[in-house]
Order: sequence, then C-alpha cells, then structure tokens
Amino acid sequence: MDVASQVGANAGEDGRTPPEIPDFEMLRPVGRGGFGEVWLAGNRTTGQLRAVKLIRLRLPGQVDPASREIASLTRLEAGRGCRHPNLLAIHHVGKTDQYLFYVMDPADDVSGGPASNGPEYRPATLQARLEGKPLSAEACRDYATQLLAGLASLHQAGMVHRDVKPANCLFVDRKLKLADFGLVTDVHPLVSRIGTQKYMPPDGRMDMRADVYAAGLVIYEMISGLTVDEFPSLGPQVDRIRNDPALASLLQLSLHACERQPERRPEDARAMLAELTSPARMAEPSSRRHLFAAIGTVAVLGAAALGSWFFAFSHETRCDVNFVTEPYEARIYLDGVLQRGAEGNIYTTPCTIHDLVARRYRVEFEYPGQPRWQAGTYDLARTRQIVASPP
Amino acid sequence: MATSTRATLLERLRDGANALAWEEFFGHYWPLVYGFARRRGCSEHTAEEIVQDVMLAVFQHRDVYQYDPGRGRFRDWLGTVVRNKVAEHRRKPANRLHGAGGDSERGAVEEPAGEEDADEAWEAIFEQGLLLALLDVVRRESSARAYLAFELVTFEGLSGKEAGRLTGLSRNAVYKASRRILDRLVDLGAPYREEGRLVDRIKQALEARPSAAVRRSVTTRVQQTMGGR
Repeated sequence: MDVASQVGANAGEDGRTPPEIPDFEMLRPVGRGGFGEVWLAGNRTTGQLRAVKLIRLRLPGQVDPASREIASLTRLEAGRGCRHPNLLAIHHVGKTDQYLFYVMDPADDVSGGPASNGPEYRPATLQARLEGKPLSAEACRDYATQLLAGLASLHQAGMVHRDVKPANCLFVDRKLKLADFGLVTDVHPLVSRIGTQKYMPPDGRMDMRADVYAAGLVIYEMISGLTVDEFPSLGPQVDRIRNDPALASLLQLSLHACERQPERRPEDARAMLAELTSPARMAEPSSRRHLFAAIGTVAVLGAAALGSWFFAFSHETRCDVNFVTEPYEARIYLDGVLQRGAEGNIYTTPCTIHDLVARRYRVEFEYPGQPRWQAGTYDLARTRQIVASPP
Repeated sequence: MATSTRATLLERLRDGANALAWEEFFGHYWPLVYGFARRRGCSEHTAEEIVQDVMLAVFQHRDVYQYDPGRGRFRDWLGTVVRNKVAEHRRKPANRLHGAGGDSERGAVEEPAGEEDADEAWEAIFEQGLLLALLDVVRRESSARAYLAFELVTFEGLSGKEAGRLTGLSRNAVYKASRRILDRLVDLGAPYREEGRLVDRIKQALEARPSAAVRRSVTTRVQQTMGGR
C-alpha cells in the first residue's frame, strides 16, 4: 500500500459511494495500493479522526489479498513487535460483507499540522517530506533511528516487513511510524519475493537482511534527496555530504546495508541501529575494519586459553540493549547511575547502549524537569530491548 | 543494454495491465521525452505535461506499434509522437501568448527553439539516454561502494583518499575499483572509445539529466494520469 499516492476525493475503490464500515463515517480516500485503500474516517461516537484501511475480501482473478492481510495482522498481534512506538498502531480489525478493514491513527498533515478533514489534507509520509530535496543531517539521523527502532522490534519478534520504503513511513504526532503490515511474515528461508521491486535486494531473499537493504536505500534517499533509481550516486549533494561528518557516516551505513552479498550487510535492524548509534566504528574504512577483525580473530584464538582462565574468575557477558520510551528523550539510569556515552554525552531514548554487563539492573527513566520513574528490574542477559512509558 | 528497444518489452506493453512493463518503459523513456522537450525550448512545467501526454498516447496506441524491424525503429515512432506533442503545445493559444518571452507564472512557455533540427535533437537526446544506460549497466554490475568510488573519482574529481573516506574503501581499493569500472565502461561503449571522449560525453549526459525534484514531480503526475487505467 502506497499511502502517499493520492486518489480523487469522494471516490472509493470502485469509483462510487463510500463503503459502509461499522461505527465510522468514511470521509474520503487518502491512499491507494495494489490491494486496498486507506480512507480518512470519523468515529461516529467520539468524532475522532482515524485512518481505515480497506481490503476487498474477494478480487476476481487474484489471490485473496484479505486472507494474506489477516495472516499478517494475526502474526503481528501475536508478536511483541506490534506495540512499538515506531510502528503504526492498529486499534481495531473487522470485516464487513465486502471488506476486511482495520483502524489506525491518521498521519499528520504533510504541512506538519495534525490530520484534518479539510480538502487540503495530505498524509505526512517520508516520501512526501522528501519531494526531491535532501533532509537535514539531524532529520536524517532522527528518522533513521526511528525507522530502525520500529523495524528492529519486528525483527526481534521474528518477523520481516518486506515493504520498507518512504511511502510506508508515516508521521503521527511528528513521530515516524513504520506502516503497512500487509506483507509482514515470519522469518523463513522460503519467504516469497514480494513488496516494492525497487527496494528489493539483488539476491532476491526477502529476509531480515532484505529489510536492512531497503532501510539502507531509505537512508540514501534522505541524505541525497535522490530516488533509489540513482543509488549510490550522490549527484549534486557530493560536497554537502562530504563536508558533513553526520551525513558521511549515514552514507556509510547505507552502503553497508546495501551490500550485494547479504552476509556482508548488518544481520538485522537491531545491528543496523547499533551501527547508527556507534559513529566511531563507522568512521573506519571497511578494509581497515576487516583487518582489525582479522587481527581480532587471531588475538581471540590466541587468547583462548587465557580467556578460559579468565572466565573462571569472571562470568561477565556483554550485550547491547535498546532503550525506547514513549515519548522519547528520556534519560536512562541503571541501578541509579545516569548512562553516558564514551564522550560524556548523556544517552536519551530511543538509543542502544553497547557493551553493558549482562546482568539484572534496576532501570529508571527521567524527563528533564520531571521526577525519575522506575520501569522495573530487567535481566539484560535475557532482554535486548526495554520499552516503557511513564506511569 | 537498451541499444534498441527490446521486442519483449514492447510485447509486454501491449498488455495494459502489465504494471512492471509500464514502469520499465516509463523509467527508461521519460527522461528522453523530458530532455527533448526542454531542448526544444519548453519550460519545465510544459516538458512535464508533454511527458504525461506522451505516456498516455503510447498507452492508448500500444496496439498500433508492433515490433517488426522491417517497419522501422520504435525510437523513430516514439520520436514522431514526441515531436507531435511538442508541436501541439506550441499551438496552444496560452503558450503562443507567452511564446516570445520568459516564463509565465506556471512556466507554460514555449521559448523559440534554437537552430537545432528536431530530428538531430531527438537523436542527441537518445544518444544521451544510451550513454546513461551504459552507466546503468556498470552500476548494476558493481558493488555500491565500488561504483560510488568510481563516480567520485571519475566524474567529481575527488582524490582517492577522499573517495575512500566517503565509501569506506582504502585508497588502493578506490583506484582499483575505478579502473576496473572505467575499463568495463570503455569496453561497453566501444564506438566512443576511438573518439577518446566517452567520459566527457557521459558527464554531459549526467548534467543534462532531470533533477530529483523533476523526477518526483513527473512520476507523481504520470501515476495520477495512468493510475486509473
């Protein structure tokens, strides 16, 4: 579903009257894709605006799109990933005689304001934000972090999205939300090649690394303002990117994510997010990284005996953990200690903290000027992502 | 490589519902149509309208042109369609009103075309399209890092060290990749090799390529026109 592709007002999928959906007044279509439409709708009881996606239950001569969508939604609901702040929330799923429908938050207006019932309303998608212009380094990094955090939650739940692209990145309350879960499926070696062709990796495998590949292309589009057809050219943005370390580092992340051989890409969105939040690692040329890796391997092998001796005295396992709060920008305390990066900068959510000792911690968050609140005690040997909201 | 329009693509285009074939056709030909219209003095806005009109005309006449080498090239048939559309726009009263001078508010202006003959202009634009297609071939064959290193060194004039910093390759790897890709490009573009100006010609073609903003605008416009068909 390409939420950004606009269709004429007051024209349903069949070009006639708005469909009947229980409890909702269907206002007008705001997006259309291969298997359905998204309508702006008002809740008849509360008056709240919602986005309602409709998928016809039967389409002559086609595979049953609704059954695939239902399977995806069922997987999503069963997985933990469906509640992530960077995934578009689905509030309700239902059926009529003709349609499968599901109810979601409407995207902000492309102008940056909230969704409205006005005729000028256009859903704010990353695609609409791009419009042929590159984004600022700050926005690129922010959106990349949010996209990868949402995707990482799907990957952590063992699912792949299969249709990551700017048109499926919506803004709701100015936060990026990965949308359109119609192609979400479990990770499986035989996952079919489906999705948007331009964002598919050349190897054809549609696994987590394929989502990583697509995310790499989205980052490329943000930093260059160019379309995926032109990847990896930088066009007129060469000087801007080479003179901005943040953009140069995002370019390298994109190139890493879009390696031709899947095994050379980050293994999933979590690994990619970790790379994004670790710019020092990115600054090294890859050949040097490989050299270091080789030296490291030799060193590890050589130190094996020493390691086993060390292990007898220390059981410290290290891990990387994602911290996500709704809203963002919370400071993180582990056992009462404010978490800071190597350069002394304070970590704020959403972020990944690397190299933590994998043990139990009391986890607290704090927004500036507000009292600290406890999220709970977590065993980091078992938890790789902590998602919390203030009480 | 798209040195001639492949019969299979034309055959697939006859099936109006074959979205992938139409996307391939659009992706390859719209920059040529747009480039021709601009070269013939059309404003950006008018050139976008002409792309839209041409795509619609090809869609409507998809049964008329059948691949038959004996009946002439698709390039010539398309060239005729494009030239006619440009001429139609010239004849529009609104455009004639603005025709003598600068851009109107919407840019629907036909500035007088230069000395260049329309056939020559179409051939030149088509040649640029072929050169970009060559570049596309080597881009698809190469890893993204290697191709970007090649572009940065060959077209942007960056040093190996700087290209390496941006691509994450060592300086040596940048030079090796650039050399290998350039050799391959020269190999593919054999007719230009003798002139020794292949890189210059490609640079010109790259500079003449429509901007990303135009690309997005045209894509949206054509999607809206063709979407319901």
